[in-house]
Amino acid sequence: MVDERQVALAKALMTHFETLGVSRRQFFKLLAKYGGGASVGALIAACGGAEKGAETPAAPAAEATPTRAAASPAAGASPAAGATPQPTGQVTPKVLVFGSGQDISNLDPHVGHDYSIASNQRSVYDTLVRYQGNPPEIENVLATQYESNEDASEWTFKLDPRAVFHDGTPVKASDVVYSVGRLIRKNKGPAWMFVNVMGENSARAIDEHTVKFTLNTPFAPLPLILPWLFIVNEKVVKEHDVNGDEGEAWLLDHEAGSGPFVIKRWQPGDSYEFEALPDYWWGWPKEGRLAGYIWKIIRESSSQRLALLNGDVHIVAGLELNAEDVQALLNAPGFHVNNEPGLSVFAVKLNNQRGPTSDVNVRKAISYAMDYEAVIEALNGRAVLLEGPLPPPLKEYVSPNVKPYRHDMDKAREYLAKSQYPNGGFELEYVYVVGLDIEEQIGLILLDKLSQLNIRVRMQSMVWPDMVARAKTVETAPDMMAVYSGTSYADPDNFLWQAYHSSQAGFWAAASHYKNPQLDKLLEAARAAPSHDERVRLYHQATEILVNDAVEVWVQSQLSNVVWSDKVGGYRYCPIMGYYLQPLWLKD
Amino acid sequence: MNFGLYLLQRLALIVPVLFGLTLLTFTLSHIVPGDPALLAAGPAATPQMVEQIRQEFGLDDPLPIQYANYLKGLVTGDWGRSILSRRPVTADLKVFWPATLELVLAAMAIAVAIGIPLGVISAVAHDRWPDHASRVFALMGVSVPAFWLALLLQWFIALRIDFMPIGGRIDTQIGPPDHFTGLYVIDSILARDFTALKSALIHLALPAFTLSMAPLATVTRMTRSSMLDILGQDYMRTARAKGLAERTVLLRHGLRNAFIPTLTMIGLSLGWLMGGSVLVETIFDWPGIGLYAVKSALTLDFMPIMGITFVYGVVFSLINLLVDVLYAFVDPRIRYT
Repeated sequence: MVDERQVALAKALMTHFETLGVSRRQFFKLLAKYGGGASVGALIAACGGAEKGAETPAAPAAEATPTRAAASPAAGASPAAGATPQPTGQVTPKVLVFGSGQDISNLDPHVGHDYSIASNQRSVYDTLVRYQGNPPEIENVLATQYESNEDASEWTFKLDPRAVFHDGTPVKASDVVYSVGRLIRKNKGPAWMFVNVMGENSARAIDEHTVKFTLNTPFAPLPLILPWLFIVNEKVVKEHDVNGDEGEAWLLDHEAGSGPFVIKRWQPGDSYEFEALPDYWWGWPKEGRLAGYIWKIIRESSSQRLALLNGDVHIVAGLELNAEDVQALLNAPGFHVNNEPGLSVFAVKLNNQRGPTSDVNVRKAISYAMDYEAVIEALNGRAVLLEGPLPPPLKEYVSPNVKPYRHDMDKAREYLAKSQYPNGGFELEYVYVVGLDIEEQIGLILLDKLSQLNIRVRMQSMVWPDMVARAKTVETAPDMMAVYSGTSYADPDNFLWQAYHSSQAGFWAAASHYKNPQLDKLLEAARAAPSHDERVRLYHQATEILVNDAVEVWVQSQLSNVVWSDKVGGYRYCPIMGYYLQPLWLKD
Repeated sequence: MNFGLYLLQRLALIVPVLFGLTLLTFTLSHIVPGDPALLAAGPAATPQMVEQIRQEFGLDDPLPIQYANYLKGLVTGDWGRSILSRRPVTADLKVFWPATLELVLAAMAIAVAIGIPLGVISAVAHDRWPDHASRVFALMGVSVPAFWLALLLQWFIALRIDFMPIGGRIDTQIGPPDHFTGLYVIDSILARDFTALKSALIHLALPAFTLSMAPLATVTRMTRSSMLDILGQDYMRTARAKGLAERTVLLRHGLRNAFIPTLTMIGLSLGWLMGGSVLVETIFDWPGIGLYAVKSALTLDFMPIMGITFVYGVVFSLINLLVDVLYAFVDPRIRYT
């Protein structure tokens, strides 16, 4: 039988081949030869019939699923790295179950924005480039090549002519232009990364497969934010426009992409099922592929552990796993627990503008008083100490001259003596997220150590929205605020700009309200410097300033707790944008 | 006044109750500190993005205007959207409410099916071993924390003897039956999908049993206590003197008269279970309204909070009304005139 998707795909292929000078008759011959399907006749009929006089191919035995061999353009665009037309392995595609504590609240690629949403957006949409590995590196997907001008203000991307949307229409430069415009117009979710550097009309189609970005300001890390630019099918989105919403209501739980999976079932709060496209244009790993996957919501740490041990799920994101359950899984045969540090940073934000913490010597005293090793112990060793404001995968951007603060009570006393409060005698408020045990434990460690400096610590737990509200002004921002920061793009710009550029003061990541014109200039210059070496040099200077000013107490970066079963093949940890399921397969 | 008029009057009285409830919820949710727009905008959103969200959700309007808009929407069926997911609240309630309802009804069915016979046996065997055993059982029921029992059941029944699933509403590979009511057990019967029915029932068993423990204990003790009062009544002796079978005496003359306090308790427990199911829902990953409520409260998502409270208000009011109406059926002496 021929379904609508096959018909649409066949039509798209036929159109594509016609543009390459291949006649319909030749196309159907190719289809019969490579597709080898019993339903070729039905496809021909559905496509509007062959040219007069065209031979109807003899009906072969197999199903007529267009293969990558047939789909590959004659022009010979080379397949992207790591992908092959069809899995050559002998593994039978199966359905993988992924356990996560977080729902997929909104799949709209230009609205929803968190790790669970991103993981699944990556399944149904393609992007120009994507992240892979740790440290994360950029890899082409829709783009075959790209280049920028000297000051990184103009970028040109060539698109892969093989790319097709799920309805069979080719992915064109105009779809990229529309996607950029929609993202900027919506001004939601991931738009915050783009709105400062591009406008609604910044992207322009040079030809059907070339798109040019003219930025408002030079921005060297552009390719690093482009994995967040999901390309939508303009035609499909416009078909679902309601009162000018550009399909926003529809795209909440539908898709208009060209990615490796399509939505099969959508049950908010429970599970979300996705089905693999066997003929995904970009291809699958040579070892095998999934038949699909289920994003299963499991909220409790112990339930995640039991589900893994019971074989109900194959992999868990691990964000909800507590130290005890991680330990149990480390000892369980048949499971792997990831031991790589991620891109998260835990820091105690110090209010740099008000109260005793506005004194740099008090901040240094606190930085030396913190018992860093005790924190690692509290985390059962599943964390690494930070050596500055950036996480371990971005270590090259931290100046080698930076000497990280480590527990030293003598130095703490020495710096307190240099401050306006040589004998202590004041109280600091430590604010942390209610119910987050590790933040509470870190507060207690500070309470203990600072009491030795005659500094009292008042512990205050709050729900996160209240902490966000407290961070807004210098007057309300706590003296000390426990904050975990993640990242959306693997570049120091993401961490340093949002936390220390003076324009960001008042956002939770900038709860320290740090203001330093010299640092602002360095961060701005690093954004515009296209040379990697130049950027490294600028960030070295920036990190020296930040550490010297002891802006915050940079403590630790936790190891990723992703756990996967032996049965999962192809998993490679990447600490950014959630989880990419296309490279996975299940072993027999 | 006839019964119909009484019913209309009681229904009319629910309206001011619900109005008061919406006013209270709206006021409370808007005076707590925190800025939902800032939170929804994301980690590094620009001030313009935050402002845009404020405008989109009408958060920049004066509070009386916001409340008036909310009431207008409530009446016209537009209960607002979640500021975080942007899903309509009514769509979320349609998904999450039936899950909780199914769990609560199953838990109450277990509590009634076991608790009432146990209470009767306990009363009849007053101060003998069945009575003591039921007392211990009831004491355990109210004392054991639901989350602990849930974890214990998960560990033993789901993991050690691999007899039941550890969570969810239905096998992920099977998927839910066609949607009629949203209650999977009923839907799978209506769809004649017996694979789904079996899966729905075994998924329901552990969470429903866990949730039933507290009401089971109170139903047992309440039935026992009421039955003890009734057993010594003259009419019971008369019934026996007439030569009625002991079973008929106990069930028709005893239990029916003893049932009024138990019925009140069941009604109240239903409301309590709906509000208190969150722990069980969390551990068994039961995608119900309790989880939805907690998540919304923690993220200051006003519209879902108000929608959930409103639904709870309606359910509590209707349960109270239903219990009052049922009194008349259980005890014919009660008349609403």
